[in-house]
Amino acid sequence: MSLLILVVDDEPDVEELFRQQFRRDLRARRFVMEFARSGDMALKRIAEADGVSIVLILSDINMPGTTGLELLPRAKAARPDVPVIMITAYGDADIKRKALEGGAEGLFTKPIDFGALRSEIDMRVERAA
Amino acid sequence: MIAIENVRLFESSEARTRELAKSLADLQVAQERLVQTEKLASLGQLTAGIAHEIKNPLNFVNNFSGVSVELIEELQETVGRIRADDNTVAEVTDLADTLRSNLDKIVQHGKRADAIVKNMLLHSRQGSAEHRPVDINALVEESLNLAYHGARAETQGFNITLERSLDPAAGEANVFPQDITRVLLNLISNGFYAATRRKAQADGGDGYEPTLAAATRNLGDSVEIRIRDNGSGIPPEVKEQMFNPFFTTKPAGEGTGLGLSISHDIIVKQHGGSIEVDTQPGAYTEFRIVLPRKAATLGDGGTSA
Repeated sequence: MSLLILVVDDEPDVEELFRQQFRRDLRARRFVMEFARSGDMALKRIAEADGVSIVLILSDINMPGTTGLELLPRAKAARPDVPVIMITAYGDADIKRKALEGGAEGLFTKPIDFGALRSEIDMRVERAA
Repeated sequence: MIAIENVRLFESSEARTRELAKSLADLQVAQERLVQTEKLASLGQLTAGIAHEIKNPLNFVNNFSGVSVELIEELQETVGRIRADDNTVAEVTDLADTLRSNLDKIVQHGKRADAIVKNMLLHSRQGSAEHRPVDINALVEESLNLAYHGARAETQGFNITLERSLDPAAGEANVFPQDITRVLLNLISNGFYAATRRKAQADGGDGYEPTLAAATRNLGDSVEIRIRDNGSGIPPEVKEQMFNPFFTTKPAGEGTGLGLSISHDIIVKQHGGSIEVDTQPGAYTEFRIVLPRKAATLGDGGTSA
């Protein structure tokens, strides 16, 4: 069974960036990455992924429509077992507090430190494999 | 009898006129400060807006250039395995090396731009629109702690001796606390910077110990705050310009040149206080702020400005 990482960001270039960054893992099929361009699309994908092993949801905070902070409790309600890590361009204390209170397992600020993100992903992929 | 009554009436109306004139003057001062506060707020908003807009595309520049460095490394490895005539391999290797060195520059300058934008966001962080009576010693203490821990988080191995000489009678002043904290953080970080720079120049040779001293003093209707560092001091030509917006002596990427100009506006224009500097190049710099106790209020009644 393939492991899924769901990345939620309204910026189209995020997909290209993640595909390049994790190219080796994707080539080796360690996990699959899917991309949702809005909070609503992410919720739809989560609902459809019943039975699929989602190892991690990575979500941007500032998005038009459903924001990342609004998506967070709804994603946790649908799949309490799936960890969510938030990504934001503005890592102020208030946003961090809201994300952690909402049940996020972590918060990354942009530009993303891919070394640190890779460790988070590796840990979860190894646990799930 | 009528004459006496007239004199009394005249005197009373004179007193009333004086009171009204004073109220008018107070109102004008309050209005002027309100306008300055608004101006600072909109300058802050504008700066923050620009910084946010730049930060998004800049994040992509930084992340894509980072991953491209890895891609070039992969390319270089792959080229190393190709069996081709020597000239072709040399040409490809040369191109890949040049690309790699260009990318390193993009990464380096991208980080520089990111530091500038972060700094702009920090300086434009909007202050609270509320003023209230604040314990000045507590405000100074809080700023010292914030600046110290901020500097330690930012620079590995950062250390400085902090000296406090806080007058127990310093008491309260009616100020915009977030804005005054911003000024103090700015002066303290500048002090840290100057002392650290002098330490780097001394290279541990002359037993130099970086020290920053904060002092307060009760001046009756006003309160004095002094921030003194034993750093590299300020040369006269810099002293003349240091309160000008965008003037900075820090290396590119380390300063926006807005810190002291915003500090000056906050103390002088927003609070009706004063900020002066006393310095000796190679020895010390001391900033002296005097804040009226009713800095942010209007007249004796304490009506809000």
